Amino acid sequence: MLFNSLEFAVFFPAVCVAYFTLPPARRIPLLLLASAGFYMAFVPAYIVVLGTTIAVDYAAGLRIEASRGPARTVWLVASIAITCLILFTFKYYDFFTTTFAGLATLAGWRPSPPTLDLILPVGLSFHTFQSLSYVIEVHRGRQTAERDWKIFATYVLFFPQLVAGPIERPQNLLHQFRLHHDPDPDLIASGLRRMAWGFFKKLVIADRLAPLVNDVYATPSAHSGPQLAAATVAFAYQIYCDFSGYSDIAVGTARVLGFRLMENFDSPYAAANTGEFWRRWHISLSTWFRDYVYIPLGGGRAGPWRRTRNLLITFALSGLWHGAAWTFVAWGVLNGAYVAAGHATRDWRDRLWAAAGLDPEGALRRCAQVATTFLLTCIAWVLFRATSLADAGHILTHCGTGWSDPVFTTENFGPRQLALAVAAVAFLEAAQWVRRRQPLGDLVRMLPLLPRWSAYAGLLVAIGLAGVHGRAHFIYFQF
Amino acid sequence: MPTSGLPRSAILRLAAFTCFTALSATLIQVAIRHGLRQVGTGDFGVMNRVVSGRAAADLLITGSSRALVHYDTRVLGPVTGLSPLNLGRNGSHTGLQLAVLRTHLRHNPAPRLLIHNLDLHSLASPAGIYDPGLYLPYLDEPAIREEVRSVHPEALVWALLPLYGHAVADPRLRWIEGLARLAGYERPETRFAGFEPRAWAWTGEFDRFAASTSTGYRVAHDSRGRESLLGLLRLCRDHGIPVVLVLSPEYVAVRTLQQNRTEILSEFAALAKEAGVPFWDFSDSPICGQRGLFYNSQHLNAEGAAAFSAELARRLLAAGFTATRLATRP
Repeated sequence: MLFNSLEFAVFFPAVCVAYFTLPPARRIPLLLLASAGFYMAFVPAYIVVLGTTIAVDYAAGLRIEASRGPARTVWLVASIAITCLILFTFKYYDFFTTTFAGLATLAGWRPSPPTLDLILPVGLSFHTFQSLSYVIEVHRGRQTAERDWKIFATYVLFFPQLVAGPIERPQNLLHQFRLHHDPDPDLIASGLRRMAWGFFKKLVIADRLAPLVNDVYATPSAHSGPQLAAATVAFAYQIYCDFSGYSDIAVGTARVLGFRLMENFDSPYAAANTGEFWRRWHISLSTWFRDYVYIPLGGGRAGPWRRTRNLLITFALSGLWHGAAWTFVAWGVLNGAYVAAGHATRDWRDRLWAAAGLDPEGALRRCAQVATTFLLTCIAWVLFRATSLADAGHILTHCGTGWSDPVFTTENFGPRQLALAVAAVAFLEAAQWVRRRQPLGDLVRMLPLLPRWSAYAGLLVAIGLAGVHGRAHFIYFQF
Repeated sequence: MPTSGLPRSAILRLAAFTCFTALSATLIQVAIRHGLRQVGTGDFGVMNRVVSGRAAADLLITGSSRALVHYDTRVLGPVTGLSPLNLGRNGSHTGLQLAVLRTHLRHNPAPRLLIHNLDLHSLASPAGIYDPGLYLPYLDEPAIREEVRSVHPEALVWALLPLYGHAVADPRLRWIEGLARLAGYERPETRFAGFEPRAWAWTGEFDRFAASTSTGYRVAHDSRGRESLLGLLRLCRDHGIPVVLVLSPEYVAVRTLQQNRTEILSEFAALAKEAGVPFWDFSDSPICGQRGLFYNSQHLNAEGAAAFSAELARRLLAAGFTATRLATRP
């Protein structure tokens, strides 16, 4: 079920009313059923896949906790292997077999391995990682194994964050299913505000920009340099607003029900370097890879070369997590290279800024750093969005051409759409700029009733009128 | 057993906020509609003239975008001595062209002559309404509402709640023009008595299409399309309006791709004969072979439109469709 669907508009209030009306003992079964229904609205049969992951990791958690010595690790490895095998089968099998066949052809061998052509269950990578974090944390002794299967299943299936995160850690979420939540008007209002902001990002910005990006990236060679550049910047905002919009709706939805999910984004395009960008972008995944891949590999402790190697491995895996294609791997490696280069050149850059006479704490230096980081991020997004490495190469080499008479519109993205999208992005950036100084919710709450309600009503009408209501999927659903 | 509930004050506050939002939305809806009905340029400008009874003309031109960009009223008017108005609508199907004509006749005197431009798709059922936002302010017009509803049954809801219509059926954001008009801004007029000259170079769109298809394509035609065209001819007969059906020039290379072109042209001729109106096919015009006069296979550019309009005006005069002669008709 999509958040931006009529079904959800009926489903969510009904679940809320039922949740707060039922006695506490019935609430977890309700959330479990509702979450299963939410998931089955996509492809019903795939609940079996999710059920298998839940059963394996629930049992593994109990066995790990009950075991001592090497047996703990055996259970952990078995659980990770089974969970990852499911992910591999659905997401990576065809990619690896076609890659293998391609490489074999280069060696003069012509194998024809069978392909599965399976449809990827929605959000498989998300709930696989959430489930993995549970068994790893139990193995590390930082989380007690959950004995109530209904609570564990609800932890993995919890509908607000089921299909696109945030990828929760058991320490943050699991215990909340044991708490009693009374309807709290302030929490409900705060959750609804957050949901509205998420819908604004998704419907008014992300889906509004989509036709420009789709037109240009479908046939890059048929578009001019300004169109290629505009579509790339548009994609930077499209993917940010699509994904952070989803996260806002997820956080808001959970908050209405009384749950607190972790924050997934923190104004990533305000980052002054790529390392900071990754601390602000998809925080739940970045910290997952940091805690379970980068640090176990040695992190940055064993010198610059080991750090570079670890960063490249971690980011390559992060790229592969996003999609089974070489463009995603290249995107990951490029981001790893950015962060590694950031570490390696820090002193040199500081000297350069000092030589340019820019105060280390000054706004001008910060602006230049933010602009540079945004540019680097956009270059990486080209690899992420392009359908092939050849297309990505074309876009990157032609962005700077044909600027004598620039046109930014396309066949499906006219001047009015452009004007509205630019205005919406400007509003978003202004709101985020204000929020970095003071929480926006606090600021609005301080307003007298009429202006406050006008602001809320204005946001709702803007979503209705300026949004795109075509039930477009969230980009990250495909991961 | 309910364990807890929202305080009564919170429920009342939520209800009050819902009413406040609904009121705000209604005000915005009224503002947009009012603004759009005040626009004096472009598509809305022409339609606003029609529905306010300020669109009287001797020579009325109807059809799709090919009518809009082919019939240069600056040429046709002086040569024929008839005051022209071009009612061509981008992407419109015949049923919608008929609805616009009905609306025109509801609010304005009948013209002395109507030229209805045909294209190969004139006998096809619509797959949808192109740019529905253009019609949302006019859903109080029975003919337009019925035609839009016949394609999009939810148009009745759009008529009752135009803001909802703009939210779900106005991807080109036409509502912005309404608010801009209220703020005193209006796009400069680019039309001349409805005619929209497009001084565009060849776009290459057709070349890409031709390269993508080796066998060509069949043009759809069906009874609903035929009925719409016959309906238009009947309406003109009932109002005593002489009609000329015209197939304006298409770029010659497109013909090899239209597998059933002859069949469609025969249907046009048969329908014209049945209704007793002339059918002028400009497929033999020398304009059809000059790529420099088109911007794609179906549309003449401004220069091409001027050349075609001059050729058409001469043919109108030769056929006796002059201001003097039409004025003496009963």
